[in-house]
Amino acid sequence: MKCKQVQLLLTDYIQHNLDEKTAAQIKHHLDSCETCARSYAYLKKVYSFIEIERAQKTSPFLKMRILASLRNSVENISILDILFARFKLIFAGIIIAFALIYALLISNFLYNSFEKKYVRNIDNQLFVNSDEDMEYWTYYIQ
Amino acid sequence: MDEVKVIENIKQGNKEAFSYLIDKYQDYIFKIMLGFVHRKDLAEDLTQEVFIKVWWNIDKYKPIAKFSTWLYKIAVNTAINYLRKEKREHLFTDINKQEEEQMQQISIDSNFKAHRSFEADTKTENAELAHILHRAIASLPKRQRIAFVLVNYMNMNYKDIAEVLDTTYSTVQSLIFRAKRNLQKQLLKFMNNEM
Repeated sequence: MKCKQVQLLLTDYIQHNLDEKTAAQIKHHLDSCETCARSYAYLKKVYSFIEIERAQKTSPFLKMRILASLRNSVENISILDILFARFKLIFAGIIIAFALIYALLISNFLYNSFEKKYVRNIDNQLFVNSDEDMEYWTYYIQ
Repeated sequence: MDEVKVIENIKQGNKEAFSYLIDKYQDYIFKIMLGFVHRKDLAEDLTQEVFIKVWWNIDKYKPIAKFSTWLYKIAVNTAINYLRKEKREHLFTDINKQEEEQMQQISIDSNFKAHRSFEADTKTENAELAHILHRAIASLPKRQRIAFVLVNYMNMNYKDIAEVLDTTYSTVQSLIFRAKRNLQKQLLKFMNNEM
């Protein structure tokens, strides 16, 4: 086996996922190749931390903690929370509808005030000096 | 106890049934969380969060799928959401922290070198290797990472992983294959940088 092939299979070799024949070939290669042997030793050491982590146990009080936290969340929950959780979409729909109505009202108000301030006042500010001006304003008002 | 009955009892608000469920699954959920966050206290907090979610959302569970699959999906999503949130928070604090840490590191390094003992050396090396492993796992793409954690921390079979990930057996095979290859590549890169 060549180094490249061995390197590809090192993780499976460490985790004993290979058939006997391939494992034997890798072992043979590792005995003779210093570079691959170094990679193997390093990976084996690093992967051993997964085993160490997996061996950790939960604290004996975890169940008590979960039940206590559940009791707290049950006691602190209000009817509004339950309603909100159950009818989330309806609430969202109502909020969006209100937002749209509000936007519509605001835009209407802005349009009216703009019209009052700029468009209607034009009549008072008409400035006619010549026929040309008259033509311009007639065209503008039309 | 029949699990279907237990679930029905929980749906009716029976806490004893819920307690049975905690006994049965807390170790599995804890191991999944360890695979993602690598800290016992944090893994326990997230395990707690998962069970609280289960209690409040049990009505959404439909018995067409296995209960364990539904539970593991909640666990995986909780862990992923936690990591996403943590990453976002880090983005804001990292820039200032980096400068502070660099300054601290300089003083720590000079003190550290002066008082090093053999035992401390070994401990530091182990902590570094564990850190390297965690960083390499964290660098995996999301689905590869989930598959890797479920296989290596939970000993879950590929069929169950396929159900948790809503995918096929062959996709899981490919995810695990790529995860192992990427992880090994990362680890060997770390090794070469160290030398």
